[in-house]
Amino acid sequence: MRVVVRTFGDLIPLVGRKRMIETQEGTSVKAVVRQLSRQAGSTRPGYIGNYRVGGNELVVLVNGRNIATLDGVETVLKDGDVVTLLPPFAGG
Amino acid sequence: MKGWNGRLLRVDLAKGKAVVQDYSGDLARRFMGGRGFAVKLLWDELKPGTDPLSPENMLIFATGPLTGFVLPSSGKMVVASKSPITGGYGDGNIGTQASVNLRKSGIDAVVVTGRAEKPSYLLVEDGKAEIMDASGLWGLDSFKAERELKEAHGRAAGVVLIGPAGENRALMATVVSQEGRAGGRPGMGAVMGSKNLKALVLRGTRELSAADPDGLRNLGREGHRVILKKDNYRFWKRQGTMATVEWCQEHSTLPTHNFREGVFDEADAISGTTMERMVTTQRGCPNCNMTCGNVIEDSEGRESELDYENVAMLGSDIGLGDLRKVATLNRMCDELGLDTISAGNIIAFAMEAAESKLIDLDIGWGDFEGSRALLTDIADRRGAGSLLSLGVKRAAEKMGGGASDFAVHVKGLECSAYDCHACPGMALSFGTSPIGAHHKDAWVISWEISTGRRAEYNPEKVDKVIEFQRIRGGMFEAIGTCRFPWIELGFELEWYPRYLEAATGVKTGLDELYPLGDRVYALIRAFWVREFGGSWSRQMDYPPKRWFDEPLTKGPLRGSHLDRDKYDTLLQAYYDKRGWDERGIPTKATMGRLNLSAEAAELEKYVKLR
Repeated sequence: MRVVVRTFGDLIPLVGRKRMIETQEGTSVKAVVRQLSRQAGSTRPGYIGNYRVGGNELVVLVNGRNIATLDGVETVLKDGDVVTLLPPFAGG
Repeated sequence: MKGWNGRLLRVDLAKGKAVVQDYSGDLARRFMGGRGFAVKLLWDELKPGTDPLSPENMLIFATGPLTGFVLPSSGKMVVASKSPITGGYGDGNIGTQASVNLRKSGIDAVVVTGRAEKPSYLLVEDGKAEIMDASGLWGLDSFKAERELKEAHGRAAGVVLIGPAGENRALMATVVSQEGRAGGRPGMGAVMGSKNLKALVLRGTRELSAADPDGLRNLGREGHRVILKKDNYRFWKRQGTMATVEWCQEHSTLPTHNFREGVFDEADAISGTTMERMVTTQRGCPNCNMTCGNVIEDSEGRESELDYENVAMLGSDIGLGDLRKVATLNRMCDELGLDTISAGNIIAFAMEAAESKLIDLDIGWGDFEGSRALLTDIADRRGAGSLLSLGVKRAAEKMGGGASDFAVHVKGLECSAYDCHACPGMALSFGTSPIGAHHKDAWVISWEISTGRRAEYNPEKVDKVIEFQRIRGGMFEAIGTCRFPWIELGFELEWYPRYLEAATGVKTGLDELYPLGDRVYALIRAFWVREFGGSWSRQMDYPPKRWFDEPLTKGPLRGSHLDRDKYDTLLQAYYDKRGWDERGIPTKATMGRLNLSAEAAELEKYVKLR
C-alpha cells in the first residue's frame, strides 16, 4: 500500500516536504516513522530529527486527526492515508 | 535608581505644557514598567467613566527597565489608554527606535492628556520636550508623515505616529512606527487622534545607566549568541511567524470566512512557504537578531511587511487566496494606521452581513477591490465605513437582524487569528485576555494541540493559560523586551532575572516576577470592573458566540464546537486559581496578597468585594 507523508518546519530538510511511502498492509505509524527516521540518518532510536516520536513535542496526524485521539504510535495505516509530522513551533 | 531613569514626561496638550517629573520608587518596585506603569497610572489618575475620546483620557507610552539596553529584543514600549472600542483597559506593545530614544532621553514613560487646539506633534530631545505644529502632516499616511518628520529631525530620531484612521478616530486605529510596525489594537491610535496628536518624535543620546554595565554588556552579547545557536533559528529566519499559516491549516484553526471554518481551500497560496519565494528583505526591532518582519512586494509593487496575524486575517478570514493582494491590504492598513487584525475581522463581518442582506454593500468573499475600498472608507469613516469603524460589536448592535451572532469579538475587541471551535484552552485565553480577544498574553494553542487532548476542558489548561499570562502578559509586558526569543526559540526565561539584576541592581527571580504578573492582572481586572460597575459579569469572559453555536462544517474536525457548560466550568477553575470570585473579580484577600490593599479600598467604592 501507499501512504503520503507530509512534514513541516525543520523536518522538511530531513524528510522532504511531501513524499510517498510504499509499505505493507497493516503498517503502524511507528513503523513508518522509523523507516523515515532511518532514511534521514537518525541514529537515535525513536527519534526523527530532534523529536521523539510519541512524545509531546512532535504532533503526528493521520488524515488530519491527532494520533493521540486514535491509537497513538500504534495506529494502523491503510492505503491512501496521509501522515503529517508537525514539529513544535511558535508564532504568536 | 539604576536601570530605571526614574522620570516621566507629562504632557498637557490643552495647556501646551510638557513637564518632566520624578516618579516614586514604589511604582518601579510594584509595577516594574511598561504595562505595569500604564495600568497603575490609569488606575490612580483616570476618573472612572471618562469618555475614551475626550481630552481627559490619558494616553501612555511606557518602556520597561530593560528597554534600550543592548540585550535580546529590547526595543519595546507599551502604548496604553482607556480603550474606545472596549470601554475597558487597552494596550499594545510596539518595537521601535522610538523606545530606545525615549529611554536615552532620560525618560521612562510619556503621559499625554488634553487635546491640542490644532494638529500637533511632540518633540522630545534628550529630555527637553516641545509641542510642535503638525498642520502640514495632518491627513498624510503614516509612511509619508514619518519620512517628513525624519527629514526634519534626522534619521536617528524615533517616531511613533498615527495615520488617517487615528486622525478620524476609527475605533480600531493603532499607533504605527517604521513603516510596518504597529501597536495598540484597542484603538490607541483613535485616542491619539482625539488629542490632535499626530506623532511623538524622540531623540536621545544619553547612555543608559546600568548597575553593572560590564556584566550587562557581556550578558547581552552572550544572549544574542545563544539565540543564534538555537535549533530552530534557521527555520525561524526563513518564515518567522508565517509558518503558522500551514500549521493552523493542518490543525483546523486557520480563521476562514469570518471564523466560520478552520480550514481554507487556498491556504497554500498564502502560506509561509509561498512567502519564502517572494521575500525581498527582513526587518526587526532594535537590538533584535530574530527579524520577524518578512517584506514582500505587494500587488502594486510596493513593500509590505508580513506576519501571520495580518495574513490570516486579511487572507483566509476574508476568503482572499492571493498573497500579494493580501500584502496590499496589509500595507494599506499600515499606511492608514488601522489594526490589521480588527480590519480583517471587520471586512469579513461586512462580507457576511452583505451575504445576509443586513448591509447594503456589494462585497463578496475574497473581493479584493471591495476590501480596498472598504479599508479607505473605514479610515475616513464614510459610507458603510462609518458604521464599520465602530468595530464589529457595535456595528452589529446597530445593524440588528442577528448580526451579533457573527460578530467575532471578546469585550468588543475583534478576535486575533486562531479559530477555537476545537480549542477550549485557547478560547479561555481569548476570553480572559486583559484587553479583549487577543492572543498576546496566553498563546496556549500550540501547547494545547501538542498534548493530544485538545478537545478536553481540563484544569491543566487553566494552569497553562495562567502560566503564560504571568510570563507573557506580566513579565515581558513590564520589563520592556519581546517574548519571541523565549516562545519562538526557547531562549531560557532564567536570562531575564539576570538581565534585570545587572540593569537595576535588584536581585530577583522568576518566583518574584510571576506575582508581578498576577498583580498587574488583578489591577487591570479592577480597572475593567470599576469602569463597568453593575454591568460587569462573567459573561464578559466568554469567547465569541459562533464557536459554541455553529460547528465547523469542513475539514477533519467538522462538527466540532465549544460547549457552554464545560467552558463555564473551565472559567470557574480559572477564577478559583487566580483568587477571583464567581463574578471574575479579585477577592479582598487576593488583592491584599498581591500588595494591592489600597487599590482594593478604591474598588470597594464601586463594587462590594468578597
